[in-house]
Parts: sequence; structure tokens; C-alpha cells
Amino acid sequence: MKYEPVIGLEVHVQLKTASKIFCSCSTEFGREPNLNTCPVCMGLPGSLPVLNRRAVDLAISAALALDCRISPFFKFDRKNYFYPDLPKAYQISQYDLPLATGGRLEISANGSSRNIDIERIHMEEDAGKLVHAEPGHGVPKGTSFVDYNRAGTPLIEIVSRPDLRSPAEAHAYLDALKHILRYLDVSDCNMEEGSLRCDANVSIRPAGETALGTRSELKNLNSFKFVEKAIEIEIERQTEVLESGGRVIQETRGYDSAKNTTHPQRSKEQAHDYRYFPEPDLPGFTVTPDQIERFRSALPELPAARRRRFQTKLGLPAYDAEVLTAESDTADYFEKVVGLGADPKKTSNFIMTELLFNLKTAGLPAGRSPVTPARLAELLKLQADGKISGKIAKDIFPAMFEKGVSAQEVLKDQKIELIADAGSLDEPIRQVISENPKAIEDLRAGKLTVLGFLVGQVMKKTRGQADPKIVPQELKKRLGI
Amino acid sequence: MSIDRKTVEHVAALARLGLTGEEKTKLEAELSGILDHVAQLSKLETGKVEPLYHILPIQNVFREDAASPAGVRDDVLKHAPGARPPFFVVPNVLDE
Repeated sequence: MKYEPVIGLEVHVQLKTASKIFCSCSTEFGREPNLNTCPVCMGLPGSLPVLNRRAVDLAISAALALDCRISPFFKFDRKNYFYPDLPKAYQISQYDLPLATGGRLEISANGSSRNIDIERIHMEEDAGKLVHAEPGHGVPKGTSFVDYNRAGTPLIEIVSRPDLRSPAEAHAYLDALKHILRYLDVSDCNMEEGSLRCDANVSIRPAGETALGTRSELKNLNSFKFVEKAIEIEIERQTEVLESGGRVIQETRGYDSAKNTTHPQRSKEQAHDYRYFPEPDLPGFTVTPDQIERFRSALPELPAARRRRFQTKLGLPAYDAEVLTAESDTADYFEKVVGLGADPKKTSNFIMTELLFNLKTAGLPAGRSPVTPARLAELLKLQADGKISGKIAKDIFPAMFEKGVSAQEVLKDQKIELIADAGSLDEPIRQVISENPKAIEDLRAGKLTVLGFLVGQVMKKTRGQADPKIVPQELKKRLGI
Repeated sequence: MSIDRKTVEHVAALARLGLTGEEKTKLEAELSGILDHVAQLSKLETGKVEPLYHILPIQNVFREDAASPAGVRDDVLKHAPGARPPFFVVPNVLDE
């Protein structure tokens, strides 16, 4: 029998705030264990949570970018379970009135694109981190160490509908999601630092069937690649179970990347009985249509729209548009250079080959490039005007990048001669002659010192791009002296 | 509505409560009583009543996103049942 996989993803994304969701502790990654803690996130008696406004703002922006409906009223609930990573023995989350519902995300996989429906987005606090006993880690056998620095970190959980039909689509969904959230600067989406985590619900059913099969929930997926591989291996496992006449049981399974297998995991709460109830320490929250409109209009142009505009309005090939919009910083940079008059395709070529390479090596985003958009525009203009060859432009770029100087400075420094292009001097020389009749008269009368002044005027008109050795010759030629 | 012994045991396990047989019997009756009371309330016609999500008449209480250190870590560690500063120590949670 042919089976069809049904996949839904639950993605936890850390919101980019300075402080935790319900208290003033820092969210900085990599601090000394338990340093970012206080009575609120440690769950000490008498402490009360207060919601971080910025966390809500970021969550609303993310929800709108994913086409969700923002709830006019939302509240928080307690999800109760005992586990040492949870100091209060409950997690403040959202149950029946989440922040947002019903959105969609456009993904592109296997050369075609389609929309994946999003069920809901809710806000919650993260739990702490357990450090298990491992040889050489200093944790005595039979114990676990706990670091609560992460406890109370603001998260949104984005729950997709079970609309994904292949491991590759799951990967594409994560790529698209990360792309948008980084664009909005809502999250770093860094899996290594735990600012993006993903669980996958996987089931299979006979192709053509509409009812859902029994699903397993995959955890411990540490990279997008592993999400894809774990789903792949889980589909194979479930297919084997069904084909040998067995039944898939609903359970949590962990992925072992070294063995590329999934295995049953004891879940935190065997019975999925979290006894949710409304969080009495937090009031409800309202969002007005006006506020939603303000958030909506403040959203930047999203990657998909920007990609389309780069192709249609600026005539870039799809590949270029894709590369340039991968990071908003790069796209902003590109637009600034083009805004200064540079040719879009030439700019794109230069960014993709020279700039991105140098940025990557230096570990910098385009927004912090030592070569500013104005300087790249200037360099490209030198090339467009035929003052320097394309090869020179590429050759001097690393020096511009390294020293943070203009093309002119590098040219001067490396004693690179500008291409003598007499033709392009015609217009400036004509202007200077007509604007300085007195000086011309003096020159014709034999007062050669005036020549220096006139050369200076031509240089000014050409913004220093003319070759100062050629200008006097051309001037004299034009004046017939 | 009645609560059977199995449900009492299940709820007790979720709450990490160790109950004696006598306590379980007592709770069976008490929890059933509570549910009966709620069942009675459930009979009220509430279709036209605005749901109440919070007993306090306030909404939208926020704090600004500013980080400041609380500086309580060492004191809290001192009072923890188990600590190996800067960590808290708990019994192993992995059953491997």
C-alpha cells in the first residue's frame, strides 16, 4: 500500500528582547549559570509576573507577517507539570485564547511554492536548562544540574496545520519561517543558542485517505537538516510498523542524529494532563483594531514581496533576487547603492561576488560593511564611466573593505592610473571654458599660471575622477594653444 | 457525578501527592462533592452572560523591556535543597 505522510510543526521562537517575559532579568545568552534569575523567574513566594510590552509587540509583528488574525482579547494560562527545569511547577503559557490564530506561510520546495496554514501562535515562557551527568562534565552520577538563566525567556510557539507532505517541505517551512522572523528582527532564530526549536508531529495514512493516522511527536531536533532526516526515518519506521500489521502508538520520540534513528522518550507528563487554568497573577490583554493597523503598517516589506519587486521592477534574475533578499541587511544595502544611480544588475553582481564574500570572511552583516553603499556606488560609477576597468574595481575592493577607505584613496595609494578617456572630458572642459572667459583670456595672453586654476575647475566638475595629467593637455588642445 | 479511586490516584500522581488508602477514600467523596456542586452551577443559563476571564477589573498591565540584575542567585542557591554553585542540583532526571 502507498502511504502519504502528514506532518505538522511546532516551532518555538525566542523573541528578541533585552529582558525576560515576566521579569527584568536579562535574556543574554552565555552568562554564568543562574545569574539571570530573580524571585519571579525562580518562582519564589510573593513574586508576581508583569508582561513585557516589547515581547507582545514582537509577537504581534510576527503574527501579522504570518497573516494571522490577532485576538482582540488574549490571556495567559498555567500549564502544570513537575519537572526540575520548571521552578514554579507550572509554565505560563496560553491555552484557549492565544495571541493569534489562522495564518499562512508561503514555502517553496521542489521548484514550486504553496501556502502552509498556521493554526495558532501563542506566547509563553521558556523553561530552564538541565545539565545531565556525563563523563568529564563534572556532574556526579545520579544527579542533574539546573541552570535557570533561560527560565522566563519570552517565546512564541507557532503551530502549523498538519499540511506538510514531505520531509523536504518541513525543511522549506522552517527556512521560510526563519527568513521572515529574521527579516522582522523578531528573533535571531539561532538553533545552536536555542532561539529556535522545533518539534515535528508525524503520521502516515493510506494515500487518498482524509482521516489522520496516529502521530508520534519527534523531539530533540537540533538543526533543520536533522528535522528533515528525523521525519524521513520516522515515516520509514511507521510504514514498516503498518506493513507488518502493527499499530502506530501515540508517543514522544527522540531523534538520535549519530545513529539516525528515533526512539521512544519518556515524556515529562505521561498523561497529557497539564490541568491548564487561567493565570490568576496576570490580567487579560486587549488589542484594538487601530493598534493592529499600526503594527501592520509598520511591517517592513516581506522577503517574498521584495524578491518579486527586485525581479519585476529592477529586472534582476530570480537567483539574484533570492540571494539579495536572504538577509534584510543585504537587500537594504543593495537598494541604497542602486538608489545612488548604480545599475541594478551590476550592483547585484558585485554584491554577490565581492561584498558578500568579504562580509562573510569578516563575519559582518551588510549593515556594518566597512565599504558603505555610497562608496560602492562610487566605485561602480568609476567603472561605469570607464575610468577603471572591471578588473581594477575587483582588485581594489578588498583594500577598500579592509581599510574602510574610498576607491579614490586606494587608487591613489596603489598609484593606479585612471584610464585616460579624453572623450568624457569634453563636456566639463566646455563648461569651464564658457564659465571662465577672463581666465581663458589671460591664458591666451600667455599667463600660464592660470592653467592650474582651470585644471582645478575641471577636476571639480568631474568630482576628481579625471586624470590630472590629461586635463591640461586636453584644455590646451581645446583652446588651440 | 462521582470520582472513582483510579481518578483520585491519577490526580494525586500528577500533583506528586502520596496518599494513604484512608485519604483516598475521603478524597473520593470530597472531590465528587465538588464536582456535584460545579455540575449544579453548570445548569445555569449563561448563554447571554459575558464570559469573565479575570476577577479584577483591570487589563493591559505591562512593564517596559529593560533588563536589570536582581543579584539574588547566591542567596537562593544557599537555600536550595541541593546546590553545587553556580548550579542547582536535582536527582537525575534521565532514566538511562
